[in-house]
Amino acid sequence: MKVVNLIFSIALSSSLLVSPIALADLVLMDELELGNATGEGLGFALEDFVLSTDGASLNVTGIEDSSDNEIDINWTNLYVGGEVTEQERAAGVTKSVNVGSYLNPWVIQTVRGSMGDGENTPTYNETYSRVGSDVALLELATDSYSSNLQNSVTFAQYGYYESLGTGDASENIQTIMNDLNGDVADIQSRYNGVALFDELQDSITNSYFAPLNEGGIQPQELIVEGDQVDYDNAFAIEQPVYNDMAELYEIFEDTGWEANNNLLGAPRCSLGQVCNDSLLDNDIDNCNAACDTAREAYNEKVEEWEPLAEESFQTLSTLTASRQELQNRLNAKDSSGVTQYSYLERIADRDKFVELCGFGRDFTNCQSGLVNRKAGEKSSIDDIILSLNNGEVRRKGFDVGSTFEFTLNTTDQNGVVTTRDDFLDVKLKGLFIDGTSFRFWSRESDDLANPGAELNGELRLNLFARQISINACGDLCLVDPNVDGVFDPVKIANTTLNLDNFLISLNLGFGEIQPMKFSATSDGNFVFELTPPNPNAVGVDVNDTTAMQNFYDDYYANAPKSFVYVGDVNIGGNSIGSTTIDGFRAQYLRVQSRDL
Amino acid sequence: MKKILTNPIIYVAGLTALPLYAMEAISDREMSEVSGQAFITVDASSYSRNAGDEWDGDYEFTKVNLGLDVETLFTADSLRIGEFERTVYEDGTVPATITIDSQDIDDTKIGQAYDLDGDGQFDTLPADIIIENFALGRVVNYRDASSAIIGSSEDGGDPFKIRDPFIELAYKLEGGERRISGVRLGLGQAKGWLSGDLLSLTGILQGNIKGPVSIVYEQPPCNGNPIAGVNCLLLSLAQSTEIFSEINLVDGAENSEGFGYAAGTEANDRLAYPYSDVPYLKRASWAGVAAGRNFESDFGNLGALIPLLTGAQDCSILGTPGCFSLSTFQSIYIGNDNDDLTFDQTAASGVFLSLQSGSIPWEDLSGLDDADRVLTQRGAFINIAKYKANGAERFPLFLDLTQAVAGSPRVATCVGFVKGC
Repeated sequence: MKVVNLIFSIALSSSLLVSPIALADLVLMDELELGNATGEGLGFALEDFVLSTDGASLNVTGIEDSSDNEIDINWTNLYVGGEVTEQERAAGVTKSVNVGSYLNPWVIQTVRGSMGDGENTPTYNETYSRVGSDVALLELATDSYSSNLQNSVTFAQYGYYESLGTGDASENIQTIMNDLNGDVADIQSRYNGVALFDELQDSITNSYFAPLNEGGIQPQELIVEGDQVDYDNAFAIEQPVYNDMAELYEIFEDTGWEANNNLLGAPRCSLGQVCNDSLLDNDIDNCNAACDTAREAYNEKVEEWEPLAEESFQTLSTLTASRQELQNRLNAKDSSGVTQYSYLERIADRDKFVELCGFGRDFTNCQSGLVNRKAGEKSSIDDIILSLNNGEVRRKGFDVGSTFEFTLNTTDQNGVVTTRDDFLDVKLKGLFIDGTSFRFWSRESDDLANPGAELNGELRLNLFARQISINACGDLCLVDPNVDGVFDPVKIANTTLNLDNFLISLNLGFGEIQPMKFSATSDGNFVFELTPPNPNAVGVDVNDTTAMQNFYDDYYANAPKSFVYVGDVNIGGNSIGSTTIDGFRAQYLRVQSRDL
Repeated sequence: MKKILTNPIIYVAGLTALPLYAMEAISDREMSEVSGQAFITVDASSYSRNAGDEWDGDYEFTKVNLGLDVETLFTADSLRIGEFERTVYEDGTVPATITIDSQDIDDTKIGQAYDLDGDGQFDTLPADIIIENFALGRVVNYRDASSAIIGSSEDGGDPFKIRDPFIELAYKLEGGERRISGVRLGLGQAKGWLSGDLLSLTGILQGNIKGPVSIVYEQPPCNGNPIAGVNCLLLSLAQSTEIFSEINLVDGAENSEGFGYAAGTEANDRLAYPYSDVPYLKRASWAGVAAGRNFESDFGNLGALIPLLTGAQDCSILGTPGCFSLSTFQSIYIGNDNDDLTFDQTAASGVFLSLQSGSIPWEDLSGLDDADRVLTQRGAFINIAKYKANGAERFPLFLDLTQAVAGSPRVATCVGFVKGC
């Protein structure tokens, strides 16, 4: 790629040198200062950064369609600069941007893990407390902010709640919290004076594992499983015999016609009857003989089928009764005590309470879980509203634009293949990636088949864009088809897909408890894995059920979740609303590429 | 994309832990053994339609195929897709019904539509797709933390498996302009448990519900009495025969004019109802045997009788409830849960989630013999429909009549708890 107009000044400083000189320009460090830098890491900032390829282009090769035809991809433009307003954009104004700053630099550093260090030891750092203190990790991190207004994740959440409901962001999230608190109160009132959380949990276990004659659910599940196998087996034997029998019946009915095919309106063989006696004697004999043979074959099959059908019917009756009994047990209620709620209701209540209030296992304690997370979000939102009311402004972000041209084969619904020119113009306006970090460390592989060192990692990716615009109109939106590069703004607006207030906060990996692992197979495919939570990493006795449950509770409470918010998706002003994937996490993920 | 160089990863591994593992140069011979694989392909297609309906026009599609094998146990607190205003009965939008969890609404009216804002129309759910406690895959032995299994099937786990996911963009050519009108995320093949509190679904969910004739026979008018009518005698003789029917998303609001109906004209035309001219329901929270649909049987003579006796109307089949709230049934096995067969023989195809700003005819990738286009309209859309695997037509959802009414436990997606982690 030919890069022109590359205007930036680069300033490097040690991350240790963070004396708060307000809004000062960077100055060169002298030899003495540099000599004092201890080299744990490197903080850097790029001031007045603009990157524009300005007409240069790049051909991307190696991508093919499913028929192995190479696709011609031309990357015609890349622009990275400062955020401008729509008016400035229309007027062709470009601005530069600071990538990090002296106070909030981007950082490359090696850090020692803190797992195993006491919280009061000088080397302890909460951020790295899930990575063993015997390894060094390499961290690449973008700028980060403690101010909720400047932190793009909290700011994006503010924007999301602002777009919901009828009030401001704070009121809208409060409405949601009120609903959640109502759900908590409902569950609390149901069990108040009836059972403690642990007693509810015990009652669920007891109902499930109780003996068959005491209403146990597990023994009944096993019965249903066995009855299902019996029925499936019986049905599998019966069905082909039934089909053969049905076929023989068809033959039997048709035989009458065949035996009398020289007679118009000749009778068919029919069940329990002989051939029509209005036929000539010879024909009657022929007919009866043929019918008898067919009848005999059919009757024999009926005899074969009847006991099989009986068996199949019996097994289905048994299965139906056992299924019904299982349903009864799942929904059975007593008149009082904790079992006045059915097994299904108790499970639903327990799980809802854990979801809302976390793993405290106490109906009077709702200090974590969803209720607590929403309270934290509300606190950040209130903080942002206060900052905005105090006249604070949010810093400007990046504008990133890129255009691509593709030439590829296209197939219509009749299978006719022609060539098509595609055009894609992608703009990210007001882009921020603060709070993003990649951490990598190495461990000996525990896979005996692949011994040696293994790359482990953790990703925290935050990407917030005020708007992402994608346009594929290409030459159809030119003002004049004969003049390249001059587009009709009305047509562009009509055809552009906009994603407003787009946030992705992707958190993969949880230290050594659940590292990301990268590897490759011998045939050249890559493997990316998020291993299941590993109790060995923190020395938990895997045979101790209580310790293991505590381990999982800790994982569920602390392994970070991920979020995607899109405030609005619209095309040419036609909105299809917001989209949210809230609080997602992979307890296990393995991705392996394969040759298409 | 050819030639994925695998070795830089190993270099980085060495770099991060210099004290322990120093790098070694690899020889030319070793280098020559490194092979690359093409795991991304891009396909373009076009489609023109002139059927006199809203999908008429010229479309272009670009599909990016990712050659990936994915296994996961994935959970999300909530999914809300396509959150915008819809009007009840317009474009097949069904009324929201009162549920046990509905805030500030009279619980005695569960199953009824409501009008909280008092505008004279029933309210609808706020988004096209709302799923809480969404999960793919499940935890095996979740009750006992020391024997619970989360990981791969080789380790005894039960993850959700996806092969060859893809992203596809749809462009509509109209008035001399080319606009991006839709995007879909599809799963080439998928297999495993999908769970969630399915509060609102927009799209196609097809299942098969089965049960013995006896369930119908025990209900009015027969009430288990063979002499209550000639049909009752026939039913009594065939009580153990298994009968089945297709289930779809339906309007489950008892006081709605579309009560019991699914989308389209497959149901009989005796009654005028609001969903006859739409391809699928929007914001539905009930599924069941649609009004006008019958049960069938694999067995000949009875097979002819069953449809006469079991026509569904008003969410019931001869008095047996024929619809159920999606929130009572929280787990769907996508594909065929049969360990004796290979992934290819059991995986479901054609599953996708899409967003479109207008009417888009997506290519139907279910593999069914009559597969053509999946017709979608403005908003979000989820497709969990019939597919063909191992030569046979299959439904992604199987229920038996005894389960459907009372609900059944959701598969567990947390250790120690069924859901909520």
